[in-house]
Amino acid sequence: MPYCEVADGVRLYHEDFGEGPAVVFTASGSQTHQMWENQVAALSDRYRTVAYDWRGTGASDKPRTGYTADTAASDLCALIERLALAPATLVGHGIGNHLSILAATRRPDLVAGVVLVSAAPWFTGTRDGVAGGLSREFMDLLARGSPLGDARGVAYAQIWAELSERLLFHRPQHPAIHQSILEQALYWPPFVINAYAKSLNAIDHRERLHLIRCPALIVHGRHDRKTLYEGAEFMARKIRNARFVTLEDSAHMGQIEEINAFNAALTDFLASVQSARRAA
Amino acid sequence: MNLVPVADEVRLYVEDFGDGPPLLFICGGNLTHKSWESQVSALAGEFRTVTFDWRGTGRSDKPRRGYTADAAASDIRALIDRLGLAPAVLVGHGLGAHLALLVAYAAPELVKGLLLTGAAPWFSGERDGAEGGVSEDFLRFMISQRRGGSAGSGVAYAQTCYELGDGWVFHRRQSPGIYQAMLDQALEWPQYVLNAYAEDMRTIDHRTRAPQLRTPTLIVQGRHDKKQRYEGAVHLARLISGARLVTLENSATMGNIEEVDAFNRALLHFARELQPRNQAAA
Repeated sequence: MPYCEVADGVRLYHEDFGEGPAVVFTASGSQTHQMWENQVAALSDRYRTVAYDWRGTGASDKPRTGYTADTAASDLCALIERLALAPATLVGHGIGNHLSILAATRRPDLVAGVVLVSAAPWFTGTRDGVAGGLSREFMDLLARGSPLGDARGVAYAQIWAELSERLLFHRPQHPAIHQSILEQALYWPPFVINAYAKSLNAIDHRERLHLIRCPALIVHGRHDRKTLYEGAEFMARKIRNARFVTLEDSAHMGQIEEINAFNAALTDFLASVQSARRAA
Repeated sequence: MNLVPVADEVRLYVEDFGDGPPLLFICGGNLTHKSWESQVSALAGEFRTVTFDWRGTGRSDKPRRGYTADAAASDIRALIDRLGLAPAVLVGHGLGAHLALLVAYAAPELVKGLLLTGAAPWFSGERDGAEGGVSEDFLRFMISQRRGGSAGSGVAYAQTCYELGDGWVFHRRQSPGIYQAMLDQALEWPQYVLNAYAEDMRTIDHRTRAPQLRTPTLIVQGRHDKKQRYEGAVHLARLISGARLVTLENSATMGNIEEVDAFNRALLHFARELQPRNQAAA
C-alpha cells in the first residue's frame, strides 16, 4: 500500500497516483514527498506519479544504520522494481539528484530520463575551477546545528526556518510556504541528515556524467544560493544532449517559486521522453 | 496503530474514545479527524466518539485510485461494521455531510441519526431556483489553484491551503493557532486526492433520495457561510422529513470551531434525545 519494502525491514512511504508512464520524484535533503504537490497534481492526469520519503525520513522506516548514498540509491532502484515502474523518469531535487545520477548510471535499464533540479556534480566545494554543489553559506548554517566542534548548538527548528527564509527563495514567499518547508524539515532527524551528509561528502560524479545516456533535463534557479548555479552549468556540459532550463526568478526552490515555468519545462521534457521512446 | 481495514488494501486511521452510544464524526474536505477535537473532548465522557481520516488523507492508507463518494461512503459502512458501532449517530461536515447522507440512504439500519453541518442539497450551483452547495466564488478560488500546471494559477498548494483557512471558513478573526491547525490538516490532503474526490462529487444531488429518509436529522448551519451557502442548508432541511435546522449566528463553515459551545449544545441535545428514555433516566 503506501509502504513499499525496498530492503530487509525497510519500507519506504510513497504516494502513487495517476495512470501512464511513470515519473518518480525524489525529495531534497530536509524535504518530504510533499514538496512535489504542485507537480504531482499537474501531471497525474497523464502520468503515474510516485513521490516517496527517503529511508529514515518522513513516514518511511527509520533503521538504526544505513544512511548512505549507496543504500538510498539502491532503495530508489528497488522502489522502481517493486512497483513495476521501469522505465521511469526520475525527477530529483537538491541532494536527491545524487540518487538519480547513481540510479541512472548503475541501472540504466530502469531509467527513461532524468530531471535534475537544483543539482550538483559533487557535494560541495570547488573542483576543476568550478564552484559547484552546496554553498559555503549553507554549509555554515548546517554546521551551527552540530553539537560538536565550535558550533553554537542552534536548535534544528531554527536552522530550518532560517534556511527557508534566507537561502531557498529569490523573492518573499507566503508564510504558509515557509511553514510547510519547516514542517517537512522536522521529519528529517538530524542524526539521519548528518549521516547522509557524511556519506554524500565523498560523492563526485565527474567520471560518471558521461555515462548518462538517457534524456536529461537540468533545471536551475538563476539566484540559487544553496546549490550553486555554476555546478549545474558544468553538468550540462558533461551530460550528452542535456537540456538546460534557467528559472530566472527563482533561487533553490523553483518548483515552488515559479510553478508555471517549472511545470512547463517538466511537461515538455516528459513529452519528448515519451515520443523518443515511441520512435525507438 | 488505530488502523482499521475497510476495503482491500485500505485501512482508515481511527481515534476511538469513551464509552456510551456511538457518535461517528466525518470531517470535511481538506480536514482530518483533528477537526473534531473540541467535540470529542466535550462528549467522550458520555458517548463513544469515533473520528477518522478519509481514504487517501491524513494517516489513512492512500491507494492509487478509488477516490469517489461511493468508495468513501462504503468505507464508512465498513468502519461502522468493523467497530461494532451500529446504529451510530453520524456527524458530517461539508463534503463529509454528503457522505453521511449516502450512508443513510444505502444502510439506514446503521444510522441512528444524522447531524449535518456545512451541508448542502447538491454539490454546487442553483437548482429549483435555490442556491445551494459550494459557492461559485469558492469553486473559482479552488479550481484556479487546482492544476499546478501551466493551466493553473501557479500558486503553491501550501499557500492555497492557508488561504482556504484564512479567507473562507470563519466569520470572525481567529487566533493564529487555529489557522495553523487548519493549514496542517489541509496539507494532509494530497492535492491529487482532493481533486479526484471533488471531481467525482460534482454530480451529487440529494433531491430525490433525501425525501425518502426516515432518519432523525439535525442540520446545524453557520449564518455567514460563504462556502456552503446557508440557503442550501435551509433547502436540505425542507427535503428531509422532520429535519430541524439550528442556525449558528456567528459562524461561517466551521461552526464546530467558531462557536464550540453552541455547536456542542446542539449536538449533545440531539444525541441525548435519540437515546431510549429509560437509558436517559438511568
